[in-house]
Amino acid sequence: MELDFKTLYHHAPCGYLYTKEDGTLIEMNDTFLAFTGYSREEIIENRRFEDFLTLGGKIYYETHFAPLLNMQGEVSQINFDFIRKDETRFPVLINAIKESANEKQHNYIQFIVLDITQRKQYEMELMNAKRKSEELLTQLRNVNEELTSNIQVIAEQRDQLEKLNTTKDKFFSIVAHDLKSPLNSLKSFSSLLINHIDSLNKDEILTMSKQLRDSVDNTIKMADNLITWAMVQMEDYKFNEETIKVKDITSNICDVYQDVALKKGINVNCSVEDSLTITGDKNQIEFVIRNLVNNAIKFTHKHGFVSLTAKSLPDGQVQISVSDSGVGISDEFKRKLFSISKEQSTIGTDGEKGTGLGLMLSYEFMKLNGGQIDIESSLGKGTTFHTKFKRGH
Amino acid sequence: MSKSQKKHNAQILGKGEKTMLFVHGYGCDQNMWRFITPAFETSYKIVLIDLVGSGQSDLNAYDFDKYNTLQAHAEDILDLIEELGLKNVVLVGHSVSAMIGALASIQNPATFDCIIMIGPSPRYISDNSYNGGFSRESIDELVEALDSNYLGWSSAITPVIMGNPERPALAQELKNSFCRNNPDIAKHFARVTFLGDNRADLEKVTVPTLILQCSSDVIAPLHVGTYVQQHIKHSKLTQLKAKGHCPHLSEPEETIQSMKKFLSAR
Repeated sequence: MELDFKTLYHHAPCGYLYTKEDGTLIEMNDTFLAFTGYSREEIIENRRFEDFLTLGGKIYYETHFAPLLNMQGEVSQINFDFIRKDETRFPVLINAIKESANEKQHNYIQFIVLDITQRKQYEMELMNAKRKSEELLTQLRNVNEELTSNIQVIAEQRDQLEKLNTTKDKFFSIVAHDLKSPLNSLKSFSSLLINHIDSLNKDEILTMSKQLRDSVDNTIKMADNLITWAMVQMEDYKFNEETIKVKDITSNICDVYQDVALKKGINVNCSVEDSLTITGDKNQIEFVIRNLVNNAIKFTHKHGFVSLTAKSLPDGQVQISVSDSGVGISDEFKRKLFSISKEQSTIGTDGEKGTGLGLMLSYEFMKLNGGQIDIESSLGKGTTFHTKFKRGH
Repeated sequence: MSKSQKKHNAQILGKGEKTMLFVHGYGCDQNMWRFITPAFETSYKIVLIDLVGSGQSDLNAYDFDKYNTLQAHAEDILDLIEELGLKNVVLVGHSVSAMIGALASIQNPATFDCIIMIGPSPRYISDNSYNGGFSRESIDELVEALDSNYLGWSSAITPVIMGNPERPALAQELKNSFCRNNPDIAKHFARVTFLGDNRADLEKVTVPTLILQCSSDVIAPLHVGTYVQQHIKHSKLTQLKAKGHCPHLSEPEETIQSMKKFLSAR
């Protein structure tokens, strides 16, 4: 059969378009006219390629398409939205070649225009699916991060539980030893009194009664400490922050302990400036300092000294220090001084008993008050505890 | 090679006392000056650059916060001029770079001999009292167009060697190597370019300025070119027969003649 090129051209399944170098339309096929809804007379020599584009498309044409076409001589597979005569739009794919003519003729540009309405829908579905899968990926990543952090939290909680369990064990061992022994001595003294009341003289009864009272005192102290400790553990303790004059705390403690110290021939030196103030819970801080002074007296031999001093530090904190000329603390013991891991309380130089909970509670209280507690000590020479608190307002 | 030179993939050719610094517009790179520069190589030192984020510039230097205004690009240009020790600079800026050049000249007028603006526009978006040619929606439309045209942006497309016997100048050129831009940067730079407003800066320009205005330019129409001419003190507008927005590509000869006429009258 004979090929009719004109028919092939006009009925081609794509639009053909010829323009001058500036884009002015000089020829187009019927398919292009059908795509756009214009008649040949309406657009020939009268419209430019750009006139079919949306504003965004025009910018893209001028900033990308035209420079590329000029530099490369051809551009292919560019997607534009074309505007029909009735102002509706449809997506097209454009290939263009710039034809360089001889000297007599002008250069011209050949375009083919493919209607890609369905392909575009498919592309948009793909783009949406891609966007969606990226979103899902982000979600998945977030969930994964959350899970990882949950695992961390669980591990931390497990560690905490293990620590609590250890604390509980130690606690029972202290209670077993320290609480039971004064109760045992109470039992034996009271049995002695009951069984031998007739054969004992008044002085012996008095001595035993004093020992009984001491045991009871110690047991009460122990019970007080245990209750406080338990409250702190249960986070039930009401924290009451206020500005406190350091001297109010120290002079009160010095007064209370003067008698006890004098009995051991220990001189308690208490010198604190009037103006120093700190911030914290007064009861807790008093507990800490009282405990340190009590320990200092307890572990200092007869005729030694204990001193209670305070000063302002350059970093804005206030340091209260308790020094003694006592037995000192070994490095090994220093490490577990503030933890419940001590096996039991230590007996003082004059046989004083303790609860084994004092320093541990002091440490908890220092933490609650945002303070620090440090030890300097050498065996046989003495010990100094430094406590640091926030300055008062 | 200086730091800025590397950052901007700066190429230096030609010789002369004066320097011509060519700065491309939105969407392309220094390749767009190829038909213009040969005409000036014998009498000028020629410096070609890619703006940060475009062409072969250092894409890692494109900080999305920093390059939120054209001022950052203007400062880049001043840095490069200082590092290369350039004097009497003739700055040739296309489209958005006409404004970038204006900003640079305001900051340091003494460095510049003159500015040649090709298709400048200080404001693309129209409002009640100003016709910039575009609506806010059309800028969003442009970004959409960028999204659906993966021209040279797909990681699978690499430049191929292209032979073109009819245009020997283009023989052995790397096809698809021009105007390749990172899509995220292209979208960002489109917003910075087409949403910017530099109308108030025009009156601060003191350097003599030539405005080359195309006919039927949809990006920078004649009335916008006239507005620019009216607001820059020592400025002259030359209307070209060339149509479109890139006369240096479509009608290089006419563009060169207009530039030479202005430069020789100085």
